[in-house]
Amino acid sequence: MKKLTVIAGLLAIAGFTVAGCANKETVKPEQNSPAAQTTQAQPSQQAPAVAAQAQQTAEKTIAEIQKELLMIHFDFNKYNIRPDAKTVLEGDAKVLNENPNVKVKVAGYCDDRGSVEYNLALGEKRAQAAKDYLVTLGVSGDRLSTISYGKSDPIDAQNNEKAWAMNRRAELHIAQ
Amino acid sequence: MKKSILTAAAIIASLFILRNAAAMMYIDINAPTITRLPIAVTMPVAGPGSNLNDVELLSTVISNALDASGYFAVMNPSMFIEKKAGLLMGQFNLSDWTDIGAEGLVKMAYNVQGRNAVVQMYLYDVVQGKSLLSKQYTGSIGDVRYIGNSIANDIIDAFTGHPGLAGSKIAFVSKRTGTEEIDTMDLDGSNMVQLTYNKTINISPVWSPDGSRLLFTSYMHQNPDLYMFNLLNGILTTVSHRHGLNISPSFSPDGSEIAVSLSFRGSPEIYLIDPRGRIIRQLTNTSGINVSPSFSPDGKKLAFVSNRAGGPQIYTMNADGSDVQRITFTGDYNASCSWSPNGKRIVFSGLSKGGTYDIYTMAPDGSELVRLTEDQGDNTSPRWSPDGYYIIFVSSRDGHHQLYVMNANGSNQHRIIATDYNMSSPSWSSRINFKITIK
Repeated sequence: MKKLTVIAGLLAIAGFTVAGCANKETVKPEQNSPAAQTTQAQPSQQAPAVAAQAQQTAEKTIAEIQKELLMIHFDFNKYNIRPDAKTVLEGDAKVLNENPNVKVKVAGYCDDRGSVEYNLALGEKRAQAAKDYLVTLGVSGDRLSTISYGKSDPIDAQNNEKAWAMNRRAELHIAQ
Repeated sequence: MKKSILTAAAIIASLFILRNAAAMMYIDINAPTITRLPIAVTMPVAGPGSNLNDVELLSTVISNALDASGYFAVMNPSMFIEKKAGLLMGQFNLSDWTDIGAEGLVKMAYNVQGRNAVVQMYLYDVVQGKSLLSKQYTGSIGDVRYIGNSIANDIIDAFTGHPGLAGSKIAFVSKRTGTEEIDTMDLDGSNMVQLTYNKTINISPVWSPDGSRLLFTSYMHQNPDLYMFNLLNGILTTVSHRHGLNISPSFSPDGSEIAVSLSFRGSPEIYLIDPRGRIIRQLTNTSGINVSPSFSPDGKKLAFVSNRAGGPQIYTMNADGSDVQRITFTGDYNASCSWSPNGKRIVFSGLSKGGTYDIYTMAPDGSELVRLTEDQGDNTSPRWSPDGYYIIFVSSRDGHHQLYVMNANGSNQHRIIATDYNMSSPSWSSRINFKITIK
């Protein structure tokens, strides 16, 4: 079941990514990386070709990074980070620390039962909790924003415990 | 007429209110169950120059409004056996109506005078052979729907002791187009109008007390921001677009202030703002969740939802944020509170022991808890009708989420309209100011 969750999560993120960026974009080289500094320092005729070559080998596409950012899940009516979610966020933090120019919107979601308004607040709290935990793992808070979708965007629209558990989540969306 | 229910309340009312001869209560809206009263709405007798479409529309509007009230079984005209007959008592046979089971009878004359439609309406109790109401309605020719609603409201008043709400509107969230958009409709489910078209997420519509404005939260600019739609001039304004949540708005009773939950400082807290979005004061200050403020009708207090004790529970506070009192103690999940227009009850949706969400009401101090739905799927988002006699809510009892109305005591639960898409977050307007003059 856990495996299923992860696969569905990947599919959902992949789906988002395709919808979110129709043009395949690449992440700009890190400002403080040697390649970037070289490019900026030597505006020679040959530099662009060299830089492009360096980009191709060193950079991942946004879609590739997005795929590595996994979602976490929450207990009913809760916004504390579960132990299994901590492990996932540690992986996410590693990805974000390896790609320091990537900015992320942390999106909180709820299962589709109960109050629309309370669930919106709960989703916001979930997004904030995920953001706060990423910050403790060394990701700069400046790179992380939050948004709540409440119960508006379930992964699984069915009415059962499995679907509800799947829908109580926080996703990391790379911000354009 | 079936044995008329003459309650103590009706007797007392009749002592103080000198109504027409029909002071007795035919339909007791406080009864635990309500039997729909069979009523015949006849086609109006049309005078010279009448547009027959308007004449038919008048009859249809009245029939639909009476049906939607939940108090009447509107009879199918194919059952009518009356041949040519007059409008006045003595000019028609009561037995033509009692023989087919009618108890109430509506007869009308429709005439055109210049640019006006003039409708003379007669309401009869055919069982007792009594005239209940005779009244003339005048409006411009294009206002047939308004005239019909006014007539229906008077008929409901004659039988129940309080006027109907035909002419008020329901705003709600519709997934008809796939995304959540704000729609409005009449009480009988007709006249659906789509207000938002932004294909994002639009939620929590709330009417201003006078029905001229609608607040709602929309993601049209990639954040849940608060907007106001002016229905008189069609202008949409941004009320609050602070970072984070701008959700669960509620107008003060005089429409001059808005209570709303904002999270720009971190946690979702309740603030009082003006219609231009400027903060008047912050009312809650916890590190948790505070949402769904609802004013008491005197504007002195608010009910709201907070998780300061763990899960969502309902609290009241003064309008300055002082004197916070928890008022729900049963169950782990109580939310979506709304204060009744007469100030005496608060309605909310709570998670029942059996695992379903149900509608409850209680006194503002938390006493006299009454459960209104049971074994009928999930029941959420309750709101009062503007007169406080009804509660509109969302239920999944027929499969997907649809809108239902019940009387304030939980009786007479019925679906407004059956659709094949989800409907949610209803809000019920006051009666729109009719353009017609009623003599």
